[in-house]
Amino acid sequence: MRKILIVEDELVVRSIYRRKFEMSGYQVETAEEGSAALKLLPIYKPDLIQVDIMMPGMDGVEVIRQIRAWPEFRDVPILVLSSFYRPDLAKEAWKAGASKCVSKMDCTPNLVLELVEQLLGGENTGQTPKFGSIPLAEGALEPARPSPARKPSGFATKLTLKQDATSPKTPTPPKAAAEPEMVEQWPPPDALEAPLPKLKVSLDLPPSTGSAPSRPTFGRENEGAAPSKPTTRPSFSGPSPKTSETDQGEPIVQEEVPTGESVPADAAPASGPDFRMEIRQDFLKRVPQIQAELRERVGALIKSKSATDQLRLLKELEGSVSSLASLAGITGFGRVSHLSGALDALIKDLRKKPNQMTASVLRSITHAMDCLNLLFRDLNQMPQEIPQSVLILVVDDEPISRRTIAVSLGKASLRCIGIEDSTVALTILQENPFDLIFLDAEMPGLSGFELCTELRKLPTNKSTPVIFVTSLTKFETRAQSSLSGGNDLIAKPFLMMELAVKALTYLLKPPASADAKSGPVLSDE
Amino acid sequence: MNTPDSNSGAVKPLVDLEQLQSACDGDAGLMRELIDLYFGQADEIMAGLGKGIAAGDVGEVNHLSHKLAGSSLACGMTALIPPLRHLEHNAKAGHLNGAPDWFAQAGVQLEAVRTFMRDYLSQNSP
Repeated sequence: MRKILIVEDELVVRSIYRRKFEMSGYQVETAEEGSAALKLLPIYKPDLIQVDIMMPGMDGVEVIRQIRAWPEFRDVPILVLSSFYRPDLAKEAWKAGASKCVSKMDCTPNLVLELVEQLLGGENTGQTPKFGSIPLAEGALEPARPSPARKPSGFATKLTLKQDATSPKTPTPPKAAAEPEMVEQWPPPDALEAPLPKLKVSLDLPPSTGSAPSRPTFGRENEGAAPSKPTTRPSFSGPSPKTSETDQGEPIVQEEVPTGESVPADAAPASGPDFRMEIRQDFLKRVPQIQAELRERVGALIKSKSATDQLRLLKELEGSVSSLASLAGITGFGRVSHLSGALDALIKDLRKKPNQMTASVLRSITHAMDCLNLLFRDLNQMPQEIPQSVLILVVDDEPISRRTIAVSLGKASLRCIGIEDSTVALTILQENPFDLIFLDAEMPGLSGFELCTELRKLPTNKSTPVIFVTSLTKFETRAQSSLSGGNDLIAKPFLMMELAVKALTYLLKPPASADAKSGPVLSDE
Repeated sequence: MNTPDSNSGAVKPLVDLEQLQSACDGDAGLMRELIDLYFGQADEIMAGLGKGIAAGDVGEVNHLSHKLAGSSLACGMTALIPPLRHLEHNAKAGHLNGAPDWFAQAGVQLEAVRTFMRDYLSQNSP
């Protein structure tokens, strides 16, 4: 019987994987932390090690380094569970010798089991694995490689522009791309349907090649044709095939995403059909406790005055949020998992840069918590799919700001269209519905507030969430923002993860509440 | 590298490197890109500011000084912020009193920051 060692600090996650592997015929041992795992290693001699990357004390990367330092464990497959929002850690894990990295936010026990079997070279026959034949860098978090065969898709191809009153109207709404658009090159400006010779339009996108690695996708690449984008609010959900292929033609194993009332049965016969249902029910039972803990910790953080207290409270909150991200991921609650995962990354950033703990950040954390509560409320009533085709508009006359926003959104694998000129933006907004809009408050020509007032008159964007990105944080600004129809504010300079969390808060919010202008209250500080 | 503040005698950094690192999330490639964008834009804005001040165009001075102050803040180019804020404040109040002096100071600080960043990048290039 093949032996697996699970190194994971989260008790529930540990138990779920232990059960899953045992049901599939593996012998399993667990270690709560790195040093315990290293002590166990020479005695237990596992055939495969599953390591959580983010653990208190010795982190996953260090555990992998130390494992690989032992000659007899140099070739043992190591499967790493990492955070979607910390690709840097996945990279570190690879450098340290991980065999495969998967995002906790998207991996379910079935997916992990598939990967384990793949890493062990096939069936659980009790034979010694031939790990050497498995390529090291093929994990789900591997930086995406652009495929020459894959036609670049992008939101820009969907835009229509009406340049003047005499131009023929092209009221074509943006078409949803045939493929998810979280990775790949942004199309060049000449890919626009309508020429933009006289207009100042720039397309900002997160780095996808060169110095910065491409962001991983949400884990559901090539889902086939998504539904066309309607002129009303877009639908985020699309078909979720159980399997698809990567750019290289390698199959990606995907579990069907649960969609509320009809919870799909666990597909693996060896695991029993009720396994997934059972772990979901366990999670649902824990939700009130999780909510209470989060509420208490965020409340304490907001009230705390001293830097020492804030650091301690951030650490506690990080523990709760990180655990939630893992549990929600494992049970298939994708929206909760992604939002809490992003929040976890923001809190980690704040622990490193405590001087960045501004009122704006606290507000973003609070709003994310509000959104999590809405998601908890609707866990069984709404699809859990992650938005696949999202249109975000950024209007800012300042290129550095546009670039920074684009890179920040890229941290959540979101891409945006950056427009310098607010008048041009209004033209685009007349024809194209967006899912989210970021506006600079002070711009020449139409100010952000004026633009917001105007776009609220447009059928295409009357209810699109609008977030002002501004260095103006006075009360009057908030009042102006609210009066013009804005939903929220974020203060410059911002932490990149803060902006990513802010965007996800609006994009992952249950559709009913996202449609209504029910954005976070602006006068809560 | 720091520069003495002539008014207070206190030493203030030319560049807030922590903020700059934060703005590019520790990504060296993005840092270079942002710095290039910053100086390209700063030169353009400074030219516009000079013309705006000469023409007595308070609206233009207000807009351009606000814009450059905003990107200076985002990139941690702190030395430029005080003169630009003075220009912006006065222009908002509808006058350009002392504008040539603040503008000149902004120009001096911009060159100091440029030299600092050139040295920094050459010392920290991979």
